[in-house]
Amino acid sequence: MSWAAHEFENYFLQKHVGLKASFLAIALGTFGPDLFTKAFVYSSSDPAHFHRGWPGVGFTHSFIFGVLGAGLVLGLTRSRSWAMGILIGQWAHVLTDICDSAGVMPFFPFSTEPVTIGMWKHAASLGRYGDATAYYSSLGGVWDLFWLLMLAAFASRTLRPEYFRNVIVPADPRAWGWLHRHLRLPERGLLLLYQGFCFYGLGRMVTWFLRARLADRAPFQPVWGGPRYVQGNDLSDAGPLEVVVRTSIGGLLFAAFLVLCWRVLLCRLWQRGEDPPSVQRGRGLAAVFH
Amino acid sequence: MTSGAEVEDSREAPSGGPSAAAYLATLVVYIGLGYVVKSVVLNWIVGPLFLLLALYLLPRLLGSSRSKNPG
Repeated sequence: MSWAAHEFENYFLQKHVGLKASFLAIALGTFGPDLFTKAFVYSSSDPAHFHRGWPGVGFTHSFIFGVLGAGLVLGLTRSRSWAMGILIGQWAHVLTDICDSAGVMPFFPFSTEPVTIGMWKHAASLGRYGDATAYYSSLGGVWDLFWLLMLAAFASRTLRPEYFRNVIVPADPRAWGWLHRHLRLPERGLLLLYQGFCFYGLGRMVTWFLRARLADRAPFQPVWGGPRYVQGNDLSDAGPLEVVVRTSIGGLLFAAFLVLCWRVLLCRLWQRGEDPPSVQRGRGLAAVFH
Repeated sequence: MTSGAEVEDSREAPSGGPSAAAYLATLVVYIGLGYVVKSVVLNWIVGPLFLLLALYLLPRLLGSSRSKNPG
């Protein structure tokens, strides 16, 4: 699993979608796969399988879970920016978690084959704190740093007050207006709430890294498949070719299912949906990216 | 009203925003607290709200308590 990368990605994604997706929805979509399951993962007898496999809650780390969440939000709220945000955030989480050794089932239920590049070990079997220590002793910590640098280099303007005022609020005026009214927060407070996700990512990245080095004295092993002191927990014995074939078939079936869903239901929900006044949404990719 | 206009109406003078030093100090405090009491601050609820708490809500609370008890 990834840790702070999930927070940094939000701003990077926001930069590319601009007014066309709600930041709060992207953040919720990014939290989504782990939001209600993580506590149970650590108390499970087989955490990696429970977290990412089937049977288990591995379906939360699949593309279809994001489609269902976005469809539900679109149906209930009619907000296209929220539906788009949920979808983008959840899919980004799924793609990011391909990097650890447990992997994800992106095309569940059409393929239950875990897809992984095994960059670092999924270490939930060590408990929450052991997991954090292992993550920040492996390439996982480097992955977080990479996303922080990407954010600093290419999307730092998304953290500025002008961006918040000109893009973030107009992309989702209902939610920010609601927070303003009910929490009695002026723009300055709302800005801090917006920047808080980046702050949290940076804070926990540094803190867990320091704890791993100074308190737990875990060896720092930023090598492929590290850290070596954690036992392997691959969920599948399949070879690379088998994984490619099964995943490709799953991907084709998922794409066909998505087209069917769009024609039968999602298209109607989308047409019934609403955009904030300042959003000019095009067709195709222009409906998502600016 | 559900537009962003009300958020815009609540704008304050640019000079009223936290300085870079305030952000840095808050980060240092967060890291220090996280190191000592990890379960309290290193979670999905307190973590994202910490900046708002430290740089807006707490100063506002202290300011209002000072104005109530000027002595």
